[in-house]
Amino acid sequence: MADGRANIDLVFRNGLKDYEVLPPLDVWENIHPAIGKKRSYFPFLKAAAAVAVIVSMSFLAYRWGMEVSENRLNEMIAANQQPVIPAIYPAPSVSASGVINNRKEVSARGRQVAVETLNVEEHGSVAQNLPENTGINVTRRILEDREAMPGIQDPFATKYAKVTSPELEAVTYQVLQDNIEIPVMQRWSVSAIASPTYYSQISSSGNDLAKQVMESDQARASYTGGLALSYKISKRFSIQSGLYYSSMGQEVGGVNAYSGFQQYDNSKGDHNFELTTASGTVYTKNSDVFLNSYSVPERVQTYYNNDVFDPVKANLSYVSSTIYQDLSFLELPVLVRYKVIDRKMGVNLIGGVSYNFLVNNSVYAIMDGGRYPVGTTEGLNPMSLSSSVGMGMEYRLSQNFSFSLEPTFRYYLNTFNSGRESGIHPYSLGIFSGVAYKF
Amino acid sequence: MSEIREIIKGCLNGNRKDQELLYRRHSAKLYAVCLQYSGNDDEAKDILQEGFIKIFENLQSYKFEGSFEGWMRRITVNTALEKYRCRNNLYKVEDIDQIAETDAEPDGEDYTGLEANDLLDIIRELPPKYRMVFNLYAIEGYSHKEISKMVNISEGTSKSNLSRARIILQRRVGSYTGIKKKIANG
Repeated sequence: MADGRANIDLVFRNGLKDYEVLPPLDVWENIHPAIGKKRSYFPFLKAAAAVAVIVSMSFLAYRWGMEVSENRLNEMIAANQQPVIPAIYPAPSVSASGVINNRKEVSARGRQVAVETLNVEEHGSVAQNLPENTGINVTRRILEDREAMPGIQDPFATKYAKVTSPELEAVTYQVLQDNIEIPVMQRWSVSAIASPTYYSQISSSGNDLAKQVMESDQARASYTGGLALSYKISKRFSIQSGLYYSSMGQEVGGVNAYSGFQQYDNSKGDHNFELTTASGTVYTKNSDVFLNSYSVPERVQTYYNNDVFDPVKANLSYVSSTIYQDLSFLELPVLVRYKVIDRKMGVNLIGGVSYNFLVNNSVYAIMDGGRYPVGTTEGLNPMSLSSSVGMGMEYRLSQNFSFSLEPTFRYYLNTFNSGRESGIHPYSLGIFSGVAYKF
Repeated sequence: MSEIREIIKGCLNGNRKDQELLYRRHSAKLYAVCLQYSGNDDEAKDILQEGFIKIFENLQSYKFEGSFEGWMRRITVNTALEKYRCRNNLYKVEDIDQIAETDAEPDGEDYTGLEANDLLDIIRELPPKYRMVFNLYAIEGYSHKEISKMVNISEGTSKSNLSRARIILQRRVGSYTGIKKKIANG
């Protein structure tokens, strides 16, 4: 009879081995949109990163091209430049107010320009007629150059002889620094930033349980947002800090949660179940919850194992087969930013570290659309340290405002927990965007 | 193997054609598995649908070690198991004595002449808890210890369920073959 029973196994095993039945047509129609929807944020991240890289590369190429052109132009100018002969080129003009201006270029290089202003009506009131805030240093002296330079006739002396006073007073303005207005450097900036973040983990542990846990735990899309304050050390270097709030979460699959366990809970301990996850061990705080795992049974540690308790026989209510883990951090970043391209559309390199302070730690399941609390993740480090590397674009919207887009890779130098899963290092990819106000 | 590798890569890149190709190639075999684990067609459709969504979502975790078909089958079986656990409380388990009274006597050990669809019909008529244990033990090859953890029953219950499933199956197979023989002999 035993052979007969074994034989029936073979009949079904062999008989159904390669059996195929075409599924109804509408099954694929339901699968198709579900998988598209689930993965939609990955192409978005990839596309955004690709756009950032392409635009950055384009501007690098543009800047390189501009530098090459400028160098060639300078070489051509240097080759064609004649020796400089100091001369006075009078260019008199009479303004509507009766002020006669006579600008004389004394240097062909344009480094120094002497401007002579003659006021026919009011002697000695030249300063009142000067444009304000030009950054021009004014020195006042009587020009005796004309008499001192034989052979050069001053057209003023002849043309305006009838209107000149006995002694003409002249003023020389010396323009420094290429005669260009020098803006005041805005050293401080405050910015509001936000970023969608994708978290994952790297395991350096050879532990089989850690590997199985990592395979079953899936990171969920997370976000980071906050305020940043930066100070410009030099033209290209700035240092940034601030306060960010970041939220991360993961789905722990293959773990069944049941409710209604409280009536069977006779333990005097603070928790009934310990669940190993990639981010640490979850301790149940809700005495009504029962947990087990059929895919990786070792990950659930409890006295109420399958040998002593059957949730089905005990008629517990099945809640779900997925547990959600939420962790939130307050971040204190210390970043150094190097401006590779300093133009209206600039390119920055960013690097530094962030101190992450744990502020929220919750574990739950979803029941009837609401949260069914399970417990908390234990053994988490209250503070973790992460390193950041990124490359971003900065677009100057106005003199005070700028918009930035910075794809940033972050690697956690220490693990979230100090427990047995300590070989697991999280990392994240985020695209930080924000608006900065400079002052 | 290299072709399936290309299809998987295409799926991971979100290529719709590759996703559909993967589904078209393997859905018939996996749907047969779903039917084997379910009592009705709607349940089988749900298992196939959820199973394929999980396959696509977890495709990056397939390391090209071992059979890809086996990997997909395991996911499908696990999905069926999840469904079973969800609905377990709803199933009204048929009593073995009642089954024994209504079924014909086994026809020795002559199981010839049975088609795969006959076997599928027979296995689907089993009460859910017997069907689940028989499938996991006889078809998938799990041990009673593993089944006890997967289904959350004791090893003794697993053995008992398997034994009862076998008795029912032998009787029904006997009944089927008897009917077929009668039809064949006119």
